[in-house]
Amino acid sequence: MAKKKDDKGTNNPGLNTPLLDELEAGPWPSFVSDLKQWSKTKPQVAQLLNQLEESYENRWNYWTGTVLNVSGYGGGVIARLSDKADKYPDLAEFHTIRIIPPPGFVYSTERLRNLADICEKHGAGILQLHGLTGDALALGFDNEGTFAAAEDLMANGWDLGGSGAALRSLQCCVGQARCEMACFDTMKTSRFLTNHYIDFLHRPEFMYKFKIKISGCANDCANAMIGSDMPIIGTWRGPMQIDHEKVAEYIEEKGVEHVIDNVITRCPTHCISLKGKELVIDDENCVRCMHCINVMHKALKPGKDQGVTICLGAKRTLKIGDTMSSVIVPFLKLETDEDFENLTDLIDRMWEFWNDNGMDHERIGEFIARVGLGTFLEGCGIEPDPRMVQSTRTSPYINFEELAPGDFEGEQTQQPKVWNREPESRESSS
Amino acid sequence: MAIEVNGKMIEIDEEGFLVDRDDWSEEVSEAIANRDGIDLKDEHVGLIDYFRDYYEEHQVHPTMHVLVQRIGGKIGKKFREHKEYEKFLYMLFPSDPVSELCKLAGLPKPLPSEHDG
Ligand code: SF4
Ligand code: SF4
Repeated sequence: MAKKKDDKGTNNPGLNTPLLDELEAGPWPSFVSDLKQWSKTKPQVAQLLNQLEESYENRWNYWTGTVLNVSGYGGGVIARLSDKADKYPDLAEFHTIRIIPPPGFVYSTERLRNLADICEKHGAGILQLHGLTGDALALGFDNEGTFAAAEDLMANGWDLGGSGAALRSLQCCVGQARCEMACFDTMKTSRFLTNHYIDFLHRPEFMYKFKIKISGCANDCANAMIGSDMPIIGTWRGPMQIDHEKVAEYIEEKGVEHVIDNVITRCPTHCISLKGKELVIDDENCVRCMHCINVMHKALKPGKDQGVTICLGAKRTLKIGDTMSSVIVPFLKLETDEDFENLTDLIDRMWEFWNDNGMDHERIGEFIARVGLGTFLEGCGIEPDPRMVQSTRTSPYINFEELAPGDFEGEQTQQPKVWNREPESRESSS
Repeated sequence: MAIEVNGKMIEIDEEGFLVDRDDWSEEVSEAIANRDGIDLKDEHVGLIDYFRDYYEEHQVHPTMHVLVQRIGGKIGKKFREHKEYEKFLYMLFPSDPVSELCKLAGLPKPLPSEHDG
């Protein structure tokens, strides 16, 4: 909602922030307004804004990292010291605590108040919910405050999240709690994995960080495909559910043209056709991208036999450039306890191979790029599958040795043999 | 800051790391452990020796990864079983085992990992 000009953070006499004020212009909410408001209660926030202003002016970052750990934990606190401590004494120690959020970020107001109260009591009381890390971040604690806040948080049923070379706090979309597209119980999965791997989350020991994000369907509201080493994405096998009455209603309402323009031609694999008032979907070629379902959400639904696809390897630039994930397990059921055991067994095997053979600061995607997917699959005991594609083929020429004519070393003068593909071999499955 | 060992004053920094690493001796390490409230037993001393040897050989301190792989790797066959060793380390040194061991072994303070995000 647009705010009126005079609504913006009223100026605190201690503040001199012309560059930051620019960020308040425009109709959007601004962290500067929020912090200005808050600086009336907490003096260190005014110093924080002044230091940030100085950073903007000189294009320099005045924070230094250090190490601070709560007893028994190897991570969860991002410790920062200010280089300008003599000018801004309250910023001398300004640490951030990472807190594991509830699955799907569903808080009750009571819990949210509780969290805010604790952070306000022991520190600057700035909360950031939620960045790409997926944690709830509480900013502005000094050393003593960090320990006191951690005690208090744990007494109230919160726990610290992951940082450093550890499993990071899991993140998932709201899934079956609120969304009809969800193909599996994302919140249960997130909670189960957090509890199962809590040691790996609290005590860093990997080569480098490992993130798991969980989305109920290919719409990927948790940003898993680009933002996590191991996205778990909901999908289905077999035919999509079609309600033909609703399809006819939809066509009646919007017109055939609308359906052709927005559904049929926008299917990435062109596998939908329109027969009169009936949609026909070639399920063999559907890649479960969710587009048609999003548009005609009343008429179409994901198929009945649902499960997850597990991918690997998204990361930002470090050893190699940014990558997105690619498929490692095309389909896995995720309903019974046994299914969950299969999932953890798979994760264990991948971690073991990565951890035994990875190099320092090498994420699993870079590791696979270095050793090759074949070696990785062999090391983890996973069967190769044609669906494990990183990018689509650009050359149409394929050399299948077993299909090629037998005598490669034949003399040049010989007529090349022409190999005819048996037509029957095309109609194998289905 | 300084601590007294056998009547000699040994210079340490705020967190207890030695200022001059040549000052290290078993008594010094014991004194620092006392300061941090750790009762040195054979397990602790063995690890301190391991840290010193490792540092001499590689010029870096062992990371948690190295500890869990090399020493923990002797427990059981599976990855999960190796992790048990980490639990044991946190029992010996509840606040950050690697940093504490560096301190007791008279090694430089470990650097923060450069990528937190
Ligand atoms: S990812 Fe899919 S299931 Fe999850 S909230 Fe988004 S649309 Fe719903
Ligand atoms: S889900 Fe995507 S690929 Fe499948 S039919 Fe719909 S638009 Fe086409």
